[in-house]
Amino acid sequence: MNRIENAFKNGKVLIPFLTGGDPNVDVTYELIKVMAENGADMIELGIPFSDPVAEGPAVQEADLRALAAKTTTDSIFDMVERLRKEIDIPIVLLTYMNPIYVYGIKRFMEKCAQVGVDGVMVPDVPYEEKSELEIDCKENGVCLISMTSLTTKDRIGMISKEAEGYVYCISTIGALENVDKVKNDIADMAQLVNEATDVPVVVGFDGSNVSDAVAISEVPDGIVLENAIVNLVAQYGEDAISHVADFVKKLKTGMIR
Amino acid sequence: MLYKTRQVFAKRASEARSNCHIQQKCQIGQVFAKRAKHGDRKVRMGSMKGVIMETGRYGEYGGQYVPEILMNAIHELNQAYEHYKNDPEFNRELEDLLKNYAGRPSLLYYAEKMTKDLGGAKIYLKREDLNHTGSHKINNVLGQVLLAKKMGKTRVIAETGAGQHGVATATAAALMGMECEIFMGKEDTERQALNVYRMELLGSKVHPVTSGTQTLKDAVNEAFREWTSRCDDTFYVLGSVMGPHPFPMIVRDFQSVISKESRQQILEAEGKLPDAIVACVGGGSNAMGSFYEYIKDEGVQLIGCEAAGLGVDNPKNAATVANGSMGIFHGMKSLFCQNEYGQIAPVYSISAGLDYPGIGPEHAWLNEIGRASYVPVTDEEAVQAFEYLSRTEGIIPAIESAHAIAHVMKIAGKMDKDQIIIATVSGRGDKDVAAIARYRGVNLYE
Repeated sequence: MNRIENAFKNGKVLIPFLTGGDPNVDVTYELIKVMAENGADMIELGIPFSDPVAEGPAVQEADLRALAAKTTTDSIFDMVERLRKEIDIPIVLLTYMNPIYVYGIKRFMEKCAQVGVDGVMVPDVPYEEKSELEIDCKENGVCLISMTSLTTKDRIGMISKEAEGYVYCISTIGALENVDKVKNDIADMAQLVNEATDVPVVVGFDGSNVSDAVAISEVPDGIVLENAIVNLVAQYGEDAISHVADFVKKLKTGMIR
Repeated sequence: MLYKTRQVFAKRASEARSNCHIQQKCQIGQVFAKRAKHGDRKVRMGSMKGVIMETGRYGEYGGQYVPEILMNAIHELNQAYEHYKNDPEFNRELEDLLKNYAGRPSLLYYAEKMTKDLGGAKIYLKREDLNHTGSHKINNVLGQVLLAKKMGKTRVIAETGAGQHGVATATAAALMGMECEIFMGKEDTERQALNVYRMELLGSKVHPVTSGTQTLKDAVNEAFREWTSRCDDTFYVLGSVMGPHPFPMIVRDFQSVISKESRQQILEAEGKLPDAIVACVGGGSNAMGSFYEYIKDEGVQLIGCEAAGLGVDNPKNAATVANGSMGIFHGMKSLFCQNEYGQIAPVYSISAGLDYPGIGPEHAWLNEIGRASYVPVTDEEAVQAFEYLSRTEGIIPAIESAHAIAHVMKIAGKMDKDQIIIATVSGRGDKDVAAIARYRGVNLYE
């Protein structure tokens, strides 16, 4: 059984996102280790890109800090290879099409398989363009994670039918003014996904408040922290490790309870 | 190719069709069906002459690499454009705007003094600088804002580099009663301060973009982000032949009025087609518009002039064809200035309008098949041409357009006297006077 399927076998899944190499690769290594130890069920790891247009300013700044620290696609792969000796939770890489394309799509996916990356998510490759990645992903056993959104509800079925690993619902859920409405929206999306596929549904949460995150996580199969960890790293830099560990632990405890 | 892969494509063809809004026109379905039939994942439809292909591909270049959130907005735009481009009422309104508001047709002016001075080919200037708002940008903007209005949108957004596209968009928005917000790199708001004030006068809000390199590339990033967060009532007026399909096609079609006119004008004036068309290229909208009607005329050389900044061998340049490589960015597969890991390079040019690390996909294609050629022009050469055209013909060109003039100065003397060059003066240079003065060490501030 692959690591992603396995991760969804024991209840709600907590997936922190962080930009690899921010503030440097060694700190990222430690951060992932402590997150795994404190309840993270999966990691979404960003390969920094100069122009992350699908993400907000927090991630853009994290990417630029990582690039300034001379982080490269290869240094991220090396780090994942070392991490695989320590942790067994799935690692999904999030990056843009250009770093993959320029690295060589085939070479990139082979490298993923070699170092122990379980999936890739490419926010500027929609359904219409995914065939360019699909074959090399399949041949190397790398899940190509599909994204869906509330503004394109009518496409959720089409996308979900071909989804692997999990379906990622993009949301712009930050501060919660109306928890019930947000939960209803997520339930709508999740239902559309479930009608088309058996793979689990996760939702992106871009806030940093633990109780909001816990509330949101009641609906889907899992929740992705889009900004919370990135913000802690921005605030504390190399000293972020204990803060991140505490945050993940608190959230995971809330989600179980 | 593996039988299994063909099956995958066949399956996706039928699924894409069943999910498509307009089944008989389902482009995705057609592509997958064709890929399944030919067993080739790279099958693209359409002719080989730079004519738009149904999936927005020009050879390998182009495509729709945008976040899922934007896909419906992109499809909606494509369907609306495919409808209105053949709508007589839309075309009548657009023609009326181009004629009675923008002042078209623009002149094709015989630059006699320049011709004599350079001593070779006859030089004609296509005077896009004489359009309302002072550049070719108005051609595209009137088309897109009219389309936005027909689509029921109430708000337009745009990126701008030099400010010409921003001013044109703000103008069209004022005329057609749309709310308008412009994204402009902070560095560009400083070197083109007058244009910022112009846009504000026209009732638009200008957002200085402080992320990344604070130039055109980052302004495009922010405009896309804004569109992502609000696409229901908002139309993104993209300023060049770039971005995801259908933008490169829409902008090319609206700009091709330049070559439609010039082809007719030169036939009237000279009774024959020109030997060369010369235009500057950033993203490439004025060049695409200047080239388009001549693509089929194989005897007409098409030459795009890229900004080489301090020189093609100096890191401070923006010469994409000379220094770039294939990549995927801003919604399109094309050529980009980038490093070995696909990080987009910070580029530089004295001209804010050419200061962009990519080029439109159709240009990349024309370059690949050898139908057009692209040459680098440095800051210094462009400034000399800026001064030369002002002195010789009494025409102050935009510093962007001066890149094209600089190349004409290099080639005209080597050509025969019965040969003809048409160079596009894409905009007027008033906006650049203070910056050129500073370049020459004259302490002049706006």
